[in-house]
Amino acid sequence: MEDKRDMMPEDEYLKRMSSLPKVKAPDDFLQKVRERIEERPFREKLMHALFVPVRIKIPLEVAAATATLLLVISTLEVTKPDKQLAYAPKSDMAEEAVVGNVSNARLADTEDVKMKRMERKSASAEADEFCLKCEKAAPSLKERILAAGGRITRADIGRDKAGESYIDVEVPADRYQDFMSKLNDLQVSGKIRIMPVLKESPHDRNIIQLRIFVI
Amino acid sequence: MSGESIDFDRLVLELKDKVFNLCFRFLGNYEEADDCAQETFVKVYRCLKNFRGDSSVSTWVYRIAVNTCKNRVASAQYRNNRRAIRLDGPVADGEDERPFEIGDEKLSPDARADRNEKGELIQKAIDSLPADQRAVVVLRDIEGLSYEDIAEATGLNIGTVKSKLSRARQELREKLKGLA
Repeated sequence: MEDKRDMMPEDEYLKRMSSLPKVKAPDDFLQKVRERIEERPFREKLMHALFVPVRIKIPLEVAAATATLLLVISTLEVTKPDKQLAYAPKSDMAEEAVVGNVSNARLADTEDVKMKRMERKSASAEADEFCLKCEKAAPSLKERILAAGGRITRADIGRDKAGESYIDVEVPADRYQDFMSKLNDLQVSGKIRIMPVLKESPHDRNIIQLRIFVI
Repeated sequence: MSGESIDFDRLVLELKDKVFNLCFRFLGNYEEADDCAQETFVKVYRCLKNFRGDSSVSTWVYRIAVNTCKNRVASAQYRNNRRAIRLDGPVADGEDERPFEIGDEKLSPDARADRNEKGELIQKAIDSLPADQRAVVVLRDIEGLSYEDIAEATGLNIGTVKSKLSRARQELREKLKGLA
């Protein structure tokens, strides 16, 4: 039960509420409404242009976005360094390009490059064979050469005039001392004899060519 | 009367003051009321073709206005504006404790005239009501609509309208007892 003593009487309440002044709209209200109605279509037109009809526009937009994404990804993939190498000329071709620029000489040069490569492979195989055979005389010869930064470029067995077997080795000039110290014990014990060829490599001036005889 | 046969400009001129007053009493702020009333008529313009004439045009417009005002009250921007200009603490009683507060309205001549001490207190008391109660009080006690029209405008059934009105009146009468 409400305590009416703590409330405004109902009739007074109704009187006060109904007598509240009526607030009127501004004089240009209709004009403002009209402007607002004219204003809106732009937004609606934009939304309309973008999304209506939804069944057609959305799939189209999704397809366009997917195509753009694929294009970007494929572009990024192609411009990656490893992918660029895939499209670059192969090493043989690069050598070929260095050997000669004239197109007529190109075929002959290509053959030359191939021959060089075969020689190199053959030298490596021969070196393995040679080192295997010389293992007793010069144990770990190949490993020592390689550990000192050397590279076996040629191995001949029994082709020297004196009948000695030898291998040709290339060593970087800055590692020559290290190389010699690594092979020194073999040389001292008379298992090998090193004869510096003492000429610069035709490919690189920082390379020293040596000939190692296995005794 | 269906929507296609209604002259929009004439409708605005006929109802603009009533809608504006409803918005002002609902929101307690002249600028918000102006914006809300304009938005109401823009919505009316957009939906006019869909008006089937089930109720009177004015009731239909009131319904749009009430919904627009409710949305405005619920919007974060409106609440922030109100919070920024709060003058005093929360009201102690009432199920929905809302602080008494006044808007920073730039008053029109009419509204300025209304801004006497008693009118302002009544407006503050109305502002403190929950949105549904505020709607029925404004429509019934200020605009003088029938219960049926209020039910139509608010989307409530008549029984609910009466109970909300009774509760709102009781709360207002308590808050305004000092004016008696």
